[in-house]
Amino acid sequence: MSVWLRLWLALALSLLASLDASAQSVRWTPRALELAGSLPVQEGGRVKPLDTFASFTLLRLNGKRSAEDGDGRKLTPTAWLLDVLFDPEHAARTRSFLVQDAEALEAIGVQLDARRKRDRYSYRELEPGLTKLFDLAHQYDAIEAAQRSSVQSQIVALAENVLLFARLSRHEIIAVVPPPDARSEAWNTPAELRASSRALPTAQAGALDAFETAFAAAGRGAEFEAALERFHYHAVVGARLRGEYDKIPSERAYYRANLLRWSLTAFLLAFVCTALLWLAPRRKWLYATAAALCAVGAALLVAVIVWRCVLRERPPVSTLYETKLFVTATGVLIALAIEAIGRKRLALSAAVVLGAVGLFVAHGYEVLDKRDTMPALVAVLDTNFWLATHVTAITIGYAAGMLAALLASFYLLAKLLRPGRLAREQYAALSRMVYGVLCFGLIFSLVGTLLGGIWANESWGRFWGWDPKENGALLIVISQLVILHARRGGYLREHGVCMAAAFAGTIVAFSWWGVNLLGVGLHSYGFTSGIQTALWSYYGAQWSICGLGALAWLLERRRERAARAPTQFPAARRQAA
Amino acid sequence: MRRAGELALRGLSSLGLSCVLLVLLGLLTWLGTLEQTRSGLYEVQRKYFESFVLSHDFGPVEVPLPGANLVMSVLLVNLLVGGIVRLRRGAATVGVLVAHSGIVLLLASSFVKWRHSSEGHVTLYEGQRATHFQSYQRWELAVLEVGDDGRVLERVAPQERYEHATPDAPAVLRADELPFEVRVTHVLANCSPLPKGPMFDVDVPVVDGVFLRERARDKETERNIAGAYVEVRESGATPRVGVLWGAQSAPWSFEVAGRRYALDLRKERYPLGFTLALADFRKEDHPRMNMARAFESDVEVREGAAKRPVTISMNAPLRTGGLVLYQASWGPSNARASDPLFSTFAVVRNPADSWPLWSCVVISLGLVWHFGRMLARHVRREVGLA
Amino acid sequence: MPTLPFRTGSLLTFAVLSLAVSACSDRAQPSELSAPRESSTPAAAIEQPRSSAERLGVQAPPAAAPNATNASNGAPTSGGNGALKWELPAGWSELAPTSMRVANFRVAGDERAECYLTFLAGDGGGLAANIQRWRTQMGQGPLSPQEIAALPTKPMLGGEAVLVDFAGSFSGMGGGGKIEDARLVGLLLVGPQGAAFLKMTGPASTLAGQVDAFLALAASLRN
Repeated sequence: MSVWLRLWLALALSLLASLDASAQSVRWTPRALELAGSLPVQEGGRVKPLDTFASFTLLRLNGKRSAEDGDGRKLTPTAWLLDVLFDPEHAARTRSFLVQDAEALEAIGVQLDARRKRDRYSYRELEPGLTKLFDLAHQYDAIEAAQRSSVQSQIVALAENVLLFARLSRHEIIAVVPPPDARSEAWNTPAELRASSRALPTAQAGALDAFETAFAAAGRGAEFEAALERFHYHAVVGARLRGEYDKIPSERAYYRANLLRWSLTAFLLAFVCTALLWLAPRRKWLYATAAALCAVGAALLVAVIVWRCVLRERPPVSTLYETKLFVTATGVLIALAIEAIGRKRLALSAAVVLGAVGLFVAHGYEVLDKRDTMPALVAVLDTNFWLATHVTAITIGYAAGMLAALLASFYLLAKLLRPGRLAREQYAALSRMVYGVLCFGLIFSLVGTLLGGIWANESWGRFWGWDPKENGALLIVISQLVILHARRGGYLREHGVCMAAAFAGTIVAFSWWGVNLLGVGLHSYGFTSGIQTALWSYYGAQWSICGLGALAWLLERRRERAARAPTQFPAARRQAA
Repeated sequence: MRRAGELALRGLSSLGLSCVLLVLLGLLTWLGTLEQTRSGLYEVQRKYFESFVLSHDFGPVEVPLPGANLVMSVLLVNLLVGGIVRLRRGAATVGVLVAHSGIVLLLASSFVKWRHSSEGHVTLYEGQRATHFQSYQRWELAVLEVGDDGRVLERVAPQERYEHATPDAPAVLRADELPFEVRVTHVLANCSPLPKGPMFDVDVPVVDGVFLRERARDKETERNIAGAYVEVRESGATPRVGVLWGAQSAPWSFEVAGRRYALDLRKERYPLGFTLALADFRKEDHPRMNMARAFESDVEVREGAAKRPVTISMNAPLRTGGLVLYQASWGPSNARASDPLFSTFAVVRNPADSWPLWSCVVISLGLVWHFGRMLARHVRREVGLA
Repeated sequence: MPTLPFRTGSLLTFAVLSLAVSACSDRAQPSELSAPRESSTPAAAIEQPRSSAERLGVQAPPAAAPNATNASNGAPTSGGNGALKWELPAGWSELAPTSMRVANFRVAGDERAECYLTFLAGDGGGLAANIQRWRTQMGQGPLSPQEIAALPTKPMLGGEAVLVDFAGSFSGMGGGGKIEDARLVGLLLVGPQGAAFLKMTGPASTLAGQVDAFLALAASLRN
């Protein structure tokens, strides 16, 4: 007992210690971090909090939203960016660069310490290989992105990242000084102001002076804070006057609240409850808890989507990342609605799985993409009624297709693995759900696809152009039409509908993600090269489930025949006699 | 005989046929999508979606497939017979009937579009004007004639009339009023002119020391620059050979019987029916980014003496005289701040322009009615059970 | 009802017929041109007959000047093309100019080694863009603005031209064969009156001994 207690204590203490290390940056005071984090920065065509900028920049360089400095302390993105801007010497010793493959390091001639199996390196550590790095990067850059080997693309990416780091430390790129002239849209970086040959407007001169003072005072707590305060004042007042500060506090709150993580937690807990529920089906409270947790997860997710809409003043789906959130939310809500009608646990289970997996995938995509998930959009995607409605409708269609595939997979796996555990009516109910969701999906896919054509006709003068994304949407519609008509014609029954729906899930995935990987057409937006593996895993899983479903069907037929045989035999004999 | 008709009717109207046709259409769509990584959109469209039969290369084997035109034609029949005429009438099928009618309208609109539309573009610098728009992909051969009043008349031959011409089987183009006929002897889908040097031989005619060199076809059809060799033959005179190139600065001009004619190889032109003048083009970038946020053009539409200023912007096209003009793009893409920019309008003449919108409304109504009814019944039953 | 099969039959017949028509259109028959309509081409564009070379934007070939190719064997010889004059380096030979190449040379030592001068209107797309284009021809990635700013200059046509010297595998315009172990030495002069580019490409082994000759040629160019 005392051993356990001591172990617990030790664990708790170490946890506390680690928390302490991660929460506190010794070098920048909390006040300085707060001031810096709320600075407005213009990047990627919009003004955003420096917190957001720092977080995505560090994610891009380091593959995660933290970095370990030369003294072994863990830095938050904002603390890291403060280092880069105001204490480049310290930042150069922070392990800020993710290098996945030791081969890339060898290629640029950086000596590896065999004992250190790290994949993150500091600028200082990479420095000896920089000439070689840029040389190689220039070479590989001439190769088309799709044709580069893994090491080649890593070298190109590393060179870009090192350049970004170096330019940031020279105060380029980071446009933190708003122009006082309302007609000029572009903000300025400190480097630009410094190099300007013309006399600066008073407001900008004041901001630059405060910035330089802060730079000189870096490391001296109060003095730095005072200078940063002054800079903050200039930047925020300037941004406010331009009407570009309104959304900054809300965006910071959005990232701080991290509702997505809470939503994911709720879905995971609901998943545990649902799993237990299948072991102990009669526990009413377990059902209620699972349903409540799932509803909370869904509500949080909806809150996230709404919050993003308000922040960017855009319809819910305008980027590939947002389709993930939206599909997850819609799928979960449809499943919950089915559950509310039938209360058979099946739809609830699907909702929970969809919620958890969807949010995991969304998070994975954000980390892979490493770019701001609220970017500026090209001119043609400018807000427009038809655009908003068609994207939303098609995305609801995706959600329905995915949910149908998931429910169908449940059906097929249950048939194979636990024949007889579910009652006959439960199978029938599951298959009816699949059918119902497909019908629901068809309305949105079909109407969404047509609305997409109408939008294209309004914007470019052609209703249908056989563009890959359009074709993908059409494929979904066709797959759903085939299933519904084949069911109506009696070619597919319960089992067949489920197998077809499980397969149609891969058509949805192809349309949603696959066509973007083809790299052709008008819709090949978005970073997609890292998605390939995930996509093929999904194809593989669904196709295997279809295969297993076929196996289950054969087994079932054999069982049925075996069950029928003894009763048929005597009759046959009697006839023969 | 009666029985055979009945059987055929049943086959044509069957759900099984619908499923087969839909699967075929899905397969074509999928193959046509993947094919776009290898060929340009225009080629893919012609091969898979505007054809009656085609042969798809599956790597080791070539498989003949029905083209989307054939599939959709049969689907239309199947839908008319099975999905509308022979559909059981009743409250349960009202929604289906309406949705099917919407699909028929949609297929009809795509047919009208395929047969009767023309698409192209007008590209203008500020201050320029145009009276025609031109195709992105299609070439035409035009015979120009300077009339007595100094006006220029033109007679054209579309691409299909001459594109297969060879020296052995030239394409002959003529018109009753013309004192000569034109023979197209060589057609090159993508080529560039070169001076003929003394060190090499070429297997095409050399005209004025210049010849056309064939180039590999570009994946995107619109990037190819076509070329052709033509002979002008008048009775009793030796034929004259001319070289035509899609990017030539002027047509090939010659004189027959004291009158001046010229031959031009150019992108197919369609008259606008009015004069379009570009007054001002504006482009706005996202701050600190090389990405356009918006662009728009102020144009003037002149019909006779009437002038009408219009602003065309992204998502806000100009609809006039059966034509729709869209802000499509601008350039040159590498222009600096002070350089003049041009503005490109996509122009479409499509009699079925608004049909898809109506069909969308009809289909939505049908589907919502049908599935809403089913859902209501299902909910009543489930709630009744509980 | 009985009319339906007929109607469907006619549709199918239509499909088959249109297929047949598209498959075997008879080319031997003369086809009629469209009816005349007023053209948007101005009469001025066709009233003056012009040579094919002029219409197609190609420099007339040297048919009229049979000995345009004059090789120099010993010491540099003077050469010129219209207003332009130069000293031809030893062993180099002059080639006929083309529409793009105002002066065109074969470099001593290898058939594939060539050198030519082009003039472009305006800034010819800009210094950086042309350097990056040449980098691409050599299979290399672009240079950073800093790297471009640091490039050395040499005199040419009365200005200071930027000197570039890249190694790589050369695949130039026109697809005239790829040179694996190639080198590109070029001078870019971008001035207010226009842009001039003198560019030498060829196998690295050949060009190694010709850089001085190239620079001398550049210095000797004058209007």
